[in-house]
Amino acid sequence: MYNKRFLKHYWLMMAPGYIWLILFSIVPMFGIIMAFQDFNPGLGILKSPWAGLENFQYMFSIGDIKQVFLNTIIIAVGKMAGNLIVPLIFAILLNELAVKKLIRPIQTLVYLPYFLSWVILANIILTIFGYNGPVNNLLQIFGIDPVLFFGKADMFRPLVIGTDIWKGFGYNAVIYLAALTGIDPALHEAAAIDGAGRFKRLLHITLPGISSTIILLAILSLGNVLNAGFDQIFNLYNPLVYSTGDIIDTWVYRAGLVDLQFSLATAVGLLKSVVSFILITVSYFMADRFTGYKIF
Amino acid sequence: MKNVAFKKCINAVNFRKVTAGMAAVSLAVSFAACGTNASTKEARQSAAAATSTAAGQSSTAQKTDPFGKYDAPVTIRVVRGLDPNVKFDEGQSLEKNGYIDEIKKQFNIDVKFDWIASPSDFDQKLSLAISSDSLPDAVMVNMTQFSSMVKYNQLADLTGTFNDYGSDLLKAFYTSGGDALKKLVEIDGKVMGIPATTPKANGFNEMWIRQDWLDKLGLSAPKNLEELKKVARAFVEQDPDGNGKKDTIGIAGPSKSGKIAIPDGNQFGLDPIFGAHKSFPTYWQKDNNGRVTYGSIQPETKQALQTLHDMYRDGLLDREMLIRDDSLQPVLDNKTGIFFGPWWTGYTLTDVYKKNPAPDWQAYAYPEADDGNYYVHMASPATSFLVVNKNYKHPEAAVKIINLLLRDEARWIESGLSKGSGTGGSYPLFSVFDNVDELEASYDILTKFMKGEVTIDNVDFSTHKLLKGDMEAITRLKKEPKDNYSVNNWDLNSELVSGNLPRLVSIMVGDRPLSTGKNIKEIYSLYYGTTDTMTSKWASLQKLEQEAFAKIIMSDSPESTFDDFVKNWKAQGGDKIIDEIAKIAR
Repeated sequence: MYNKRFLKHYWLMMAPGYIWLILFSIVPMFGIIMAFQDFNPGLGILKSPWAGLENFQYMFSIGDIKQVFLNTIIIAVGKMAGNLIVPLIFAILLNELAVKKLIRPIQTLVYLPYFLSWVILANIILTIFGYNGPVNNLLQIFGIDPVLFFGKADMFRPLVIGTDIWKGFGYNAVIYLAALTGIDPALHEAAAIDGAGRFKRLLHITLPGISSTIILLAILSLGNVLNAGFDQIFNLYNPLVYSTGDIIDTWVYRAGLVDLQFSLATAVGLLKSVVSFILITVSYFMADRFTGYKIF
Repeated sequence: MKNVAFKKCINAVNFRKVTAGMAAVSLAVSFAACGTNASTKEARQSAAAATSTAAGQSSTAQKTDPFGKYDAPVTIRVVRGLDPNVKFDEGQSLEKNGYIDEIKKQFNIDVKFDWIASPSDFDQKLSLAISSDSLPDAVMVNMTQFSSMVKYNQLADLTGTFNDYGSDLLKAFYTSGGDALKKLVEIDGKVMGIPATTPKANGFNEMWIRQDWLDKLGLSAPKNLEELKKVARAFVEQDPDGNGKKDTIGIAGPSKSGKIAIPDGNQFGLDPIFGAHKSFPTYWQKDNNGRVTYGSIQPETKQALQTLHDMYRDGLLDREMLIRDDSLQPVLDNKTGIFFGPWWTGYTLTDVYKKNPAPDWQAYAYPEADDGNYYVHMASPATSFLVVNKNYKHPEAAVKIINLLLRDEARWIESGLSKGSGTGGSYPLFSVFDNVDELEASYDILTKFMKGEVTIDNVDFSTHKLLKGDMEAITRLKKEPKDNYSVNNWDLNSELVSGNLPRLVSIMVGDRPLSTGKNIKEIYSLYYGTTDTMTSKWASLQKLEQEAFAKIIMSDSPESTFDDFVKNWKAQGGDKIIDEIAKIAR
């Protein structure tokens, strides 16, 4: 029953979250005007001279900004696709495992890399793929010359996408595993009696049963089209792979915090936010339309 | 979504190196977050200012004494990087130690810390403080930060303060930097920052080589490029470490956060190979017609890159240069035969002196160019500057704190004041202020001392802060023969090996090439500062340059990469910057 007194408690419990949200996400939004200013911290946000769209014009005049956007989108889309499909396959395989006792240990094991920060993981990956690392040792057994994996521009994106999927697939599979347990076992039993093999049951029962989850996750990940993962790339890249690996976030990092070009960095950041905002809005309505998922 | 928002919070609060630049949007968020922070801080500062103006008025009546004591306490707010490995003496901390007490006792100045960050986060945290105008009263900054703060009109004019309150020693250091130094810090004739002059040896890159490997393979130190290639090849192919595996590196290169060539001391950089081609990347220089131009786009640089390309192809350079996380590790693991770096490299080799047998690293001003000269680019006379917030009422307080450091540092080391942390670890506004020729002087006196030409009693230590300690340490560490600085002629069992040996090796081995070299040609850049166009375009131009250099050396891309780079560099703002430099250099 609706109880006004209870409601107050809920609001009270939510208060820290709201205060935090307002202080750290709403108030700072006024900083966006820096993108339209020639920001001078000595004068402050209110008194800095206006620059109109100059920062944006300059941004597009920089020779490599198109490449940077392209790199971001390619890496981000690759990660989105991989993070959707690989955990799905893994979850289904795990679900089909005959030895049920092994499910838990396996899940825990693949879960592990998710908890390591990229600062640590990047060094491990650089060593594994190093010139004298295990991967190259393996290649040499087959008579292949060692390859400098992180020195090759054309290999950088696959490596970044691959390692990101490897890090997260155990974690991302959790939602699928939950959805899989929601399928009525009676359906499987009935199909088995009717003579459907494992593959047929997968095709006609398992996949349709979790299709709405798949679609929902796919749509919700749309908002990440410009998020290629700063932590990971910052710790893995080097000048040799700038052409395929420099993304918006690393570019903004160098411009904003290393070279102190605050207005320019804000302008690039704002553009990224606007695009992300549009995509999130679109994906929200699409999620409602296809799966009936609603927040508001 | 929640997850993303949470990261933003971490970001704005912690300023972790890695998370700091994370999402572009959060950059805007964190800047502005500091903006709101600033207003409260301003209120705090103005309150502090209000209480100290009374004191200020009484102290202006005092005469200008560099070591004068205030009648009423004066507060100075500073910030500091704190190395997590610094160990304080019992009961002490950054805010409460012998130095803080000493400053209070001598000047009646209360030192307060606005914030403290780890050294790796310090620059970013300071950048954010600049962007939000929430600056401390005084701080040591680098060149980029200095230029920005001048441009943003955040700094006090220190001309009068420096003239009235700078100690004689501080002024002597300033004069020792000459016109090049003046050009850096005097903006429109006003001294906007007090430079921490550094020894010129800091920017002098030289070749460090494993003498024991050379001896084992029957080779001598390579004097020019051809010999260097030959020795590097022997180091790679003839198994100098004797483990039966071909796993040694001929010449080390920079790590992934390192640079191929910079206008400063550059451990693991390849600067001397450029120098052997008379090429000076990142330097502003005059071409044969007397016109100002940029070193990285010269034909000599193209030749040097061609040489490096061939050396890399032949496996003489570290295969994993620019990808490696840390180039020092293979050196400590006895895998590297040659690298380039300045005199202080001896400090980074601390761990090798404890090995048995200890590798014998020696330094030379090689490889020489065709004409037999060693061309070496010299660094800016100062890379660190004391600046004072323009709203601070007592700029002289900051200068006094530096005066005290310069006068009493040696005495503090002797008396053991705050021995655990040392001045480098915890003195407020610390920076190394030194004579430009400090190391050459030290080398000279120590050499004479070892030959018995001078004794500790007839050396004037007034302008040499650490020399006395060096002389005492070398007496205990050096074995016969006294004039040979091979690693075996040090007493490696002494307890001074980790404390004093690195510095002595740095001076006696590391500075020997600069002190004794006869055919050294020192090349200076026309300008070490940042021009207007540089503030906006330098990031992209540097990216262009680093990418082009890395590709030319390490991948199979043709030499036309260089010509494309030159064309793009000029078109994307390089020509405009050259014009600006030409105006400044005139």
